[in-house]
Amino acid sequence: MKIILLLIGCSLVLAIGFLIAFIWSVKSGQIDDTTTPAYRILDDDANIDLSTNRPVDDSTSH
Amino acid sequence: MKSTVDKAPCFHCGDSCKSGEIWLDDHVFCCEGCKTVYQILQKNALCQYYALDDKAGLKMDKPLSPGKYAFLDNPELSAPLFQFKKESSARVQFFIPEMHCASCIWLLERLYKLLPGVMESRVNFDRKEVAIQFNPEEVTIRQLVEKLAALGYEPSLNASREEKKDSKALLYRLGVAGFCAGNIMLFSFPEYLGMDPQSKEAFGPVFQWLNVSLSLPVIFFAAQPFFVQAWKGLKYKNLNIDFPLALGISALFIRSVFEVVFHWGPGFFDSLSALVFFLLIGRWLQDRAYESLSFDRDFRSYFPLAVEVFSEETVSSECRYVAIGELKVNQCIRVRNQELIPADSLLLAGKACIDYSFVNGESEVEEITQGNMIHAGGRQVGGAIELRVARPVSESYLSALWNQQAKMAGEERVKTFSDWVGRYFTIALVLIAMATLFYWLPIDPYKAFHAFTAVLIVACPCVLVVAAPFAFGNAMRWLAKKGIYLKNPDIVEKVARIDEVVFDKTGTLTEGSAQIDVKFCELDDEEMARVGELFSQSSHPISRLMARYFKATKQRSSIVVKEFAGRGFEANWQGINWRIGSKKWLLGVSMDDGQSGVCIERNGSLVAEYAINWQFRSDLDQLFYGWELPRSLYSGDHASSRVVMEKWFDKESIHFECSPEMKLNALKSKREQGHFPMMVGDGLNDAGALKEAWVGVAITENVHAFTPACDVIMVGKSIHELPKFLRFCKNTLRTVKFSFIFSLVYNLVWMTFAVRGELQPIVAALLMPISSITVFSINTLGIRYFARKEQIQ
Repeated sequence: MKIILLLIGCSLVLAIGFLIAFIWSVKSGQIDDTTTPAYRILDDDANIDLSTNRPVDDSTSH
Repeated sequence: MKSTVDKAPCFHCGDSCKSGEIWLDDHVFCCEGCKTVYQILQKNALCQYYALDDKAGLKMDKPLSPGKYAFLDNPELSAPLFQFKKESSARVQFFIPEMHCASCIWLLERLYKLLPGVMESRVNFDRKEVAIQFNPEEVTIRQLVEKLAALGYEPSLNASREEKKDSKALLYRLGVAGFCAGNIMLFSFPEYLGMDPQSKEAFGPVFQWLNVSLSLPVIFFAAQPFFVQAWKGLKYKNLNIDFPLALGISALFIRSVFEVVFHWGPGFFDSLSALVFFLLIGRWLQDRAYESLSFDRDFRSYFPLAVEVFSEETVSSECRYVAIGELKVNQCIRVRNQELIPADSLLLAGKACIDYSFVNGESEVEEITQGNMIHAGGRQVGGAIELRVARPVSESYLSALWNQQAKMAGEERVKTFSDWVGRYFTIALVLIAMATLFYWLPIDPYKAFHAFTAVLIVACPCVLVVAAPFAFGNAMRWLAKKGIYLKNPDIVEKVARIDEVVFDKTGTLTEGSAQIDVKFCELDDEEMARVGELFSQSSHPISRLMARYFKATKQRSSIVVKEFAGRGFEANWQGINWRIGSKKWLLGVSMDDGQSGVCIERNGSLVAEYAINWQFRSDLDQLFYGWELPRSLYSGDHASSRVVMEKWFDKESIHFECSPEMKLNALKSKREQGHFPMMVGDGLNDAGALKEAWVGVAITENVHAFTPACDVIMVGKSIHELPKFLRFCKNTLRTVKFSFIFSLVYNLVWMTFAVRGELQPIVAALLMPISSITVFSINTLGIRYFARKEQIQ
């Protein structure tokens, strides 16, 4: 049964790891803004041909 | 007569092109401004802007005055805007109120394509901010701001733009509390489920000491704000909401540690840490709700950053810009069209037409003659004027008014129901606990301590005190989804007591704009343009409205216009004699239905007639349908719309031509009669009345361009939700009261055991979470039920 103590130790270490990961993510600003990235992912840099509303090759447009 | 329905929408801003269309590249534009923005984007291959969102573009019909941002060339004035500045790299952060869609983000993050020298720009959409990193050697901050303004994204540059509260500390606390609570819960299970004596001996102490060590960060780090606040309250002899929390948390902790140290039992570490964790979640949700709103901006944030100063003696064209805060008495300043007067000053030169709607009242424009005083906060309408500063910015009428209000708000802290219960419950609880302690102390010291802590734990006021803010905070979040923003959770309770509602008219029941109906018009396009210019010469609100209708942009000062105050004006221009004004003035007959309108006479014959309908909000019928509370109207305008208003209000309850003081006094007397009136008005105009009312509701079209002295901000288009809002708040309070009673009875029953020292620790430990969970569920489910019922989703 002493093995439980080892397991508890492991689980605590793991949990502390997650806690540190969380603190790091807050510190590095990952959850400062949770809205904008959702829009940003929709952008791509293709230029749009306005007559067809389809992306066109950048080199041909200008 | 042309109808606007079949006109194509402007390719840039999506508005219908009312007067004249401008064609370019097979696209139609409503004005030069919109076309220019399109050209900029087209040249830089950024037309994807239009593909991302249908209504991407911002209307550009107001041309930017060229010198507006000249002050940014002065390094002293632009310095506060920089987050950091080095020779080849600088960073600024702008608040851009106009940001509204995916296209905005897309374009703002591609500024580098439009403006060489910009290295990177990042948008924070929730806060409507853009952080721009650029090379100051290649591009100046003035060019940057002007480019943004040219695209329609004019940043709001305010010296006193408050720092956003750092919510990170709370997140750290939340993380730590969550981690500890989860693990403590895990180590407490064996104790609850029961262990055989052998393993209990082996593992019991291990689990208990693990719990003790895990609870330390909860007490000393995560729960710190509660202790700090409680201490602050005590220092000012004020039993605030954090005091019972701090008391409960410390009682739990101390008792638990004693239990473990003296092998009495497992302690209450799980209840303790879970409680702190939930409390922090509540605070975090509250903070999130405030993020997109800022209530506590002060009036200076509406002022420009700097003002143009010139010297009276030397007649040089050179002028410089001085920061508002450094403006001194007797300095001469120049204020242009649509700019705010920063300090009380005397008029030196120019035609001053001051719109005081920002400070005191409704839409009337006041004309001021030379040598007279103009108060700070007025907005100049028309040409540039020259002023001499008479009083420092900090001593102006507006500042005085503001400070007075702020002071009043500080003193007048209304006792709410939850305050009352929180306070008396806490006092009663402490008394009972003390009595128990002193009763048992001579008999059995061990039992005395036992019973004392048991009383505190079992009747833990925490849940009682938390329940109300939690419920109100929850209600607040529901309401925010409907465009109703509350200043703080307590307002829910104040709203629940409302027994009368007072409305303002302009900007509240009417929309900001008016609808203009063409009755007949014999003018050709060229003449219409001329008439538009004539209208732009006059400062009357109707003239301004008409000028906008005719899309007049140029202002030629060469036209001599003779104004007849409140009636109309005459002008002789290019050989034609124009008379423009009210029908009564021109023809001696008034319009039908008491409408306001404009007639145009060319060389003595009537050529055009327009009816002006101040646009009432379309949902007023919906608002007043089935309305139960008494309601009244106090308007600063003329009685012209009395007929319309009688549809919604009783004759006796309609009051026209009220000054802001009259509104304020009306509310004051209602309060003195023991009523709880709600004032629904628009922001600053009715500031005094909003403050005097039991609850002040400010109606606004734009939550960000907003204002101070109110308890609730409501988006104009959700005004018909007002009855729902009132009902919902009442029901929320009912739910809270019910949960209070439940918890009170529950606590009283168990307290009888606790006082006698008969409550086993393990039972107490189980009772507490049950009570908390029940109270929280009653509140959450109850409020959810009422929100669903009122269709607030």
